[in-house]
Formats: sequence, C-alpha cells, structure tokens
Amino acid sequence: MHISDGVLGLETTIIVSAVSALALFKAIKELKNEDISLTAVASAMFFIASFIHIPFGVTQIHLILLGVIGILISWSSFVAIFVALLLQALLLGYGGISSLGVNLFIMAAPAVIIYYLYNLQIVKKLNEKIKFFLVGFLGTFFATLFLTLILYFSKEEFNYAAFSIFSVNIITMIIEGIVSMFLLLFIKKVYPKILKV
Amino acid sequence: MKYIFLFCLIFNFSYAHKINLFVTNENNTLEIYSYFASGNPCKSCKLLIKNEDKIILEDVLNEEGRYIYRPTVKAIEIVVDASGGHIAKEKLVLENIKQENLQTHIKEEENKKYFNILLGLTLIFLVFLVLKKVKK
Repeated sequence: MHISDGVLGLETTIIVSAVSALALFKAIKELKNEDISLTAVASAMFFIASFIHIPFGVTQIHLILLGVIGILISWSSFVAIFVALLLQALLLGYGGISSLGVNLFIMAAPAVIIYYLYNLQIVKKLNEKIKFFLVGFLGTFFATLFLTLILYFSKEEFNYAAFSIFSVNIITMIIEGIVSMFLLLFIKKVYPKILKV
Repeated sequence: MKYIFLFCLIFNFSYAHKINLFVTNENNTLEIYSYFASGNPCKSCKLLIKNEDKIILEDVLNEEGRYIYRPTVKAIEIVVDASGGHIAKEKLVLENIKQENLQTHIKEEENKKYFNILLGLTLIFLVFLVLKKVKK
C-alpha cells in the first residue's frame, strides 16, 4: 500500500500530508518516555512485516499489522509508522519521500481508529478471538479504504483501479485478521500487560 | 478480456510494493525488465517511453516482465506502471547504459536488500534511543 512518488496530484499530496504532519506533531508531543520502547518495537514490527509474504493460491500477500500496532500504542502509531516508512523509502525504495505524508496517513490513521474502536464497550463484550480477528481485519480495511479514496479523488485515471484494489484486498484483510488474532492471543498469554485489557 | 485485465490487476497488485526497473544495452537494443520486491516479474505492466516529456512509446511488458526496445533517440525516460500507485521511473542516456547480466543484478539487489533491512532496524533503534534521551 505504499504509493510511489509522482503518482498523486499535488493538491491531494499537500492536503493529506498536512493532516499527517499535524497528527505526527500531536503524537510526538504526547509520547511518554515510558512508551518509547514499545513504540520502537512497533516501528520495527511494521518495518519487518512488509517483507513477510504469505502465499495464497496463485498470489501472495504481505502483512502490515496496523490493527495490532494501533491497540498497542494508539496515537504513537504515527511516530512508529513515520520512522519505518521513512527508512523504507530511503533504504529500500518503498513508496517515496514526497508521498511519505500520504502513505503515513493511509497506514497510521487506521491504527488510531482501531485503538478507539477496540476500547468501545460494545467491542469489549465480543468473544476474544472475534475481537482480535476484527483488529487485524479492520486495520487493513481502513488502510485500503483510505488508499482507494485518495486514488479516486486524486486523478480520474485511477477511478477503475481504485475500486479493483478494494475488492482485491479483501483477501489481505482476512489473512491479516487471522494473523493478528494468533499474534494477540500469544501476546495476551505471555505479556498481557501491554494489551491494556 | 475484462477478466484477463482484472486477473492481471489482482496479480500485479498482490505482488506490488516496490517495483524494480533494470535496463541493459546490447548492440543498441535496450532490454527492459521490471520486477517486484518479491522477485516476481511485472507481468503485463504498462510501459511508457518518453523523450523530453513527450510519449514516444506506449505498450505493456510481456509475461516475463520484459520488453525489447530499439531506441531512436539518445535520451529517454522509462516508466513502468503496475497500477495502484506503484510506478518505477528511470531517465537514461543510451551511451551510459551498462551491459550487465540480469541474474547477477538480481542477486546483488537481493544482498543489498538484506543489508538495508538490518541497517533499517539499527536506525530505528537509534532514532528511538535519541527520542528517549530528548524526552527525559
């Protein structure tokens, strides 16, 4: 879901990047010293997750784990994902520098949304496995939704591709849901404190 | 046709992330090869060849992610578009293009990738270490 440089229109890039910059500023300002270690782990997790390709039929998907990052570190997701995206762009050519703000919004905003959804009373009452599945599923759902909307409103030529991307990523959402469920069940077993439940 | 296009799009996007572009020159014939970070070729990806922002060729890569091009101008820009915001671009001057073996190139890129992953993780650790000192 990394958008390359020069793909989006200037207006879209500026508006979305400005929103990301404000969110990043808020996240850095509110980041507590005791949460930095976990934020660093989340950043490394995001950096590495993109390289894990899971074969699926004739194709394969890669992980992003946005939901898991969101419920672990909330707004600090913007800091963790910003550092990881910047290094992915500089070292590996994933995405780009001018599209960094847009990519940050696509990846970090869903993580924050999942944090708030996860803490709703109605969600807390859900079966644990279903809840953890939804964390992964919806994290990818929102990232895909934002990617689709940004492409759709950026240039007319992306209209068809934008809708196709959404339908294609339903497989990714399901796999992310399953992986996140097992990962969170494992974290809950070995280190429940960080889940804040 | 619609289903073939959709399949190509699904296939391309699922592998998508970083697109690599590799161009080699043999007897004034350019061999263009494009592949994803996973090592899989950019099958049927859109190819544009420009000269001073003017499109001189519009076509698609073959099933192996390759395209053979006989250039008529010396300076060109190659653009490979895998859709979904994934594009690779390269500006080239014909005389400067090296003759290089594709397999050697892929192996070198793979080794560079592993080194950069380790470097990236080290830098993440350092960035947050600095942040921890600043926040104290």
